[in-house]
Amino acid sequence: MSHLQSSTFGRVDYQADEPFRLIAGLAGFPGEEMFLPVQIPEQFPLLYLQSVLTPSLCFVALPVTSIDPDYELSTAEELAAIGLSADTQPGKNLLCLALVCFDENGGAAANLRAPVLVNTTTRVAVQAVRSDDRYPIRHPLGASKEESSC
Amino acid sequence: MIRRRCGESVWVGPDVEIRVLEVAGGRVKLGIAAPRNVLVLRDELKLTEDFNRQASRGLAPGEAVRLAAMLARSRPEGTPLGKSYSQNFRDGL
Repeated sequence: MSHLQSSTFGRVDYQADEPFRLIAGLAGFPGEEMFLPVQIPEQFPLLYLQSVLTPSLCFVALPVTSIDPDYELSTAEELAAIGLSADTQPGKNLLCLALVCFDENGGAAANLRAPVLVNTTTRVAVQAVRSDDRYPIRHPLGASKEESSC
Repeated sequence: MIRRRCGESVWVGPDVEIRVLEVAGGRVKLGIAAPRNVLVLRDELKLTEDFNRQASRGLAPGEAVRLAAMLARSRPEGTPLGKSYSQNFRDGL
């Protein structure tokens, strides 16, 4: 059993095979490659991605299908990089997450343009920045918000 | 604004060249020759970096709880999310 310190959760114990490895890290965080997914059942389907390296670095993520049930991937190169075929869609072997940011007014937005793709078998992941503009970088969450400023 | 045809270039400063390589179907292929210390990013990658930095700033108490509650209310029954996502976690993630 390993453990890490988290500014959000305090001490977190985990099995060595629980974290996933992000190839090349997250955009803007090139040195951050290991993240531990933390789920709080009451907050389903939210998922926290806690950096193994940096206690203060923790992201909130959502499965893209919780935002758009018909979300379609178009990231063959990135899927190949994590060992999946080009036609793989979110499901059994693939967890497809959108990172979430919150603004000062309580609004939130999810990045559907650059999902984090996790091969749930090998636990290798990549943030795939789509080159098409089918999905926005800041997709507002919450019916009351026309547009999130976050 | 500068208009260019296929095969023509523009220079940004003395050592960055941007050449139009191909124009087809509403898409343009650019070739960029720049020194190693010049960062070249697609727009969506730059915006994603900005988004990630903002998303990393930490949570105010209750923000995630409110969002989870809102999502729970708005999620239609029977959407495929619950099953596959839960299965992933039962499988260990």
